[in-house]
Amino acid sequence: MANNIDATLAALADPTRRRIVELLRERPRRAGDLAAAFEISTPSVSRHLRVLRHSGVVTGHEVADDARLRVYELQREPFTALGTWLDQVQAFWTDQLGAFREHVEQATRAEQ
Amino acid sequence: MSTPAIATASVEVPCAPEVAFQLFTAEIGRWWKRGTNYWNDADKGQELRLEPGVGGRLVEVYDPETGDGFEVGRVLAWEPGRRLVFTWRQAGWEPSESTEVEVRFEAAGAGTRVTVEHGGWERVRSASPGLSDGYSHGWGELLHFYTQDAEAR
Repeated sequence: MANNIDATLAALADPTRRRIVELLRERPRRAGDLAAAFEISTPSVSRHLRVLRHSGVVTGHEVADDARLRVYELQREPFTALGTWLDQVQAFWTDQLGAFREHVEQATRAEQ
Repeated sequence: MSTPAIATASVEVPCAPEVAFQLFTAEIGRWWKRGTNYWNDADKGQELRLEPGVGGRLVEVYDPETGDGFEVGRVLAWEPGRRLVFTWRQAGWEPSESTEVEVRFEAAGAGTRVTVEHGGWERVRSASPGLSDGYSHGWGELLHFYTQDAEAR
């Protein structure tokens, strides 16, 4: 598994961060707006945003010197990469099951 | 396991479910393709061995004489002719981390439909120790939204 997929999984393995991602899915939002949507403290929302940013799941655009005005936006690539990973796993099993069918066909032919 | 973060594949084989189960498990070393085995060590891996029964090991064998190799997983459910569940881990993951593979055998006409579901990816957190607290099934749903989004574009 590629490291960036690990990072994406890690970033999403937390309920608060998943909630943030859900909110950002609707539209880009300011850090201050996101903090207002949670009962936890602003610094801990900031920490979660940092994890999301470092994993590449979101980007934060600086619009002024004030960090609360930074606009966070979801990135599509990490999710596409996860989907691609699952597709690869699926292709792997499809391939193995094809080999299994060949084996069954040989085994049953040998019996007849 | 109804979350969509699951890889599925299926195939129909021309034999009864009991026979399909027997061939799938006892002869896995004969049909499992090595070349595509990018999961662990494709160079050293000689064959796959699955020990029968719950608790049996699935081993990527490096030395056929001693049976030594990499333990891919353990059997969680062993229902001949119906269902097989085993854990699946990859070299490099934490010992506590594993995904889950379920194989179902269902009669289909004169043959058997064999379906594989490989899930539990959300349990793999190699890059993030200590995040298990408060974990819920929400991740799978979230991934589903995004893969849908990705496909729609």
